[in-house]
Amino acid sequence: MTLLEVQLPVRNPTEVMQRTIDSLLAQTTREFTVVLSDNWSTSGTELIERALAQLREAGIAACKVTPPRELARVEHWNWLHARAEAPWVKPLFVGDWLEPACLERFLAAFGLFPQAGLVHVAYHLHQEGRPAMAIPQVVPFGYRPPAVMQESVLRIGHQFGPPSAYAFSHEAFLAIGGYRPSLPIAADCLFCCTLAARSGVVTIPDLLANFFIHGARFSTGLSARRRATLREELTYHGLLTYHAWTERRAVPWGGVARHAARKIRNYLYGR
Amino acid sequence: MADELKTPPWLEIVIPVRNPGAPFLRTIASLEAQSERGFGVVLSDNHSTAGEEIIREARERLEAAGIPVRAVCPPTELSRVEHWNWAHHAAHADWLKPLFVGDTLEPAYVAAVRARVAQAPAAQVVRCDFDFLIQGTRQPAARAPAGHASLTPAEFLRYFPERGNWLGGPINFAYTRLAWLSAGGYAVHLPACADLDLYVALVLRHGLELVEESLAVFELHGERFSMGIRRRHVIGVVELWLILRQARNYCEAVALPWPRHGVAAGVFVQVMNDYVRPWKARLRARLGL
Repeated sequence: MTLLEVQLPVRNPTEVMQRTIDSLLAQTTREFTVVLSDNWSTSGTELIERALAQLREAGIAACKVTPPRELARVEHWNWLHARAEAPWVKPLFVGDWLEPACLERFLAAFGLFPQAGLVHVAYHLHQEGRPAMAIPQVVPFGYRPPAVMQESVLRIGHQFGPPSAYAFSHEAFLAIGGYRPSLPIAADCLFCCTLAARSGVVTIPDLLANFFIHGARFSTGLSARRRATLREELTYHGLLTYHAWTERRAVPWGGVARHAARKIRNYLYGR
Repeated sequence: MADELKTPPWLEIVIPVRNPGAPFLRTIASLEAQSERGFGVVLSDNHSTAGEEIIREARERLEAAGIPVRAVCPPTELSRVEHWNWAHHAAHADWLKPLFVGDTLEPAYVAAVRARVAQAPAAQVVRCDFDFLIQGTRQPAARAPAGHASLTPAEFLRYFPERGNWLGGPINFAYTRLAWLSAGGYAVHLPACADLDLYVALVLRHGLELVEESLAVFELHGERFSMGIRRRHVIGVVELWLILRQARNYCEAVALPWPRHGVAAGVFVQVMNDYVRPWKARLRARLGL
């Protein structure tokens, strides 16, 4: 069994998936497995088969799975992640890609800090028709324990990038249950912040992942759903704050209020 | 009996335990008394430091009664709701039923759920009625809306959140493993109402099968989390507010008819039930009315 399972939830993939697969083929390590989960695609199934063949040909253990019935987007992530066999899970979405050293760096971090719940890297944001934008990490390489991250997520909120920029401990995933489908926009924010506050975080400040907002992506339509986005952000932050309070941890109430005010101001001023 | 042990159970009853006391054996007795077999038990011990002999006895009694038991233990000690999630993940059957120490099922429970699942093969969530056992006296808990064998998500919203929490808790719910997994389990952020959060999410996604018989008993014994909940660091109304915000959000995302002012109405009902009515009752008692 490998230490790391890269999981791709897929539905009706297009040619943008090839770049994702190419980036796995180009990894400097082969110490990982790949699981492609096809959520009952009605198109692009030949691309999934081609991806599997390419991965296997390159010496990467790869398999395809299918949920028992078609699931909603976030439900599909939960189903897929729950069935992981490796102790670490790396989600990777169609269209995103990893730099060649990415998985090797993740594996090194798992070895150094096995107590962490979440490991994340800096990433580039790509949008069609716009230059790539680097989203750096301001903290140096290392592990930040739960007490530090508890305060950090309450003051700053989500700071770990898109799913393609992080990997998480499967054991921690099983304990927290998974992503909340009731927050389709902010499910990953709540998930990462919960893991961070529970088990701590390893930050790798190098730009090792690429997040591509292509036309078929859920994130593409978010600019038209700003009100729903604000509501979800305030709800997930409320859940985190309340949880910290129930556990009698220190809650930076001023920081929490400033964070909420910042979100509301950004919404009102269209940022 | 040997054949029953070989056939994978269609339902697994998930029992998370930590330092169980005597009420646990009443729970086990209610499983021994089930009129139908074919179910299994996942007994998850969250690193107990007491009551190991009770856990051992429970396991022996279940096995002697022809009920397959899998005893599991999380790799590290988990918090209460995390343990529920972990124990559920350890179950493999198509249907799961959480059951907590002290809760008991009527002998017909398993047979009734099985009959309903056979009758409605697309069902994902089954709720039965249940009673409270307070100081030896059974009192009916909130009942489901009368006259329905099942509710679609839209029908559910005619009765929730306006009528408060009539759903119940782990005692009276069973659901498919797939529905549970895909819903993301119990929310660890909501220690008092994680169950309500999950069941609302499940019903809004899948609808609800209703069994109108009272087939479970919730005993408010001394070891329960619910016992003395007012002294704990939780606020039920805040949890309900967070649950309803999520529910409204989900309904808007999937175009379900969330009731106008539903969050406020649901919180209002809860405030009346939790604070205003008890306060009035205390006032009346003090005034001798």
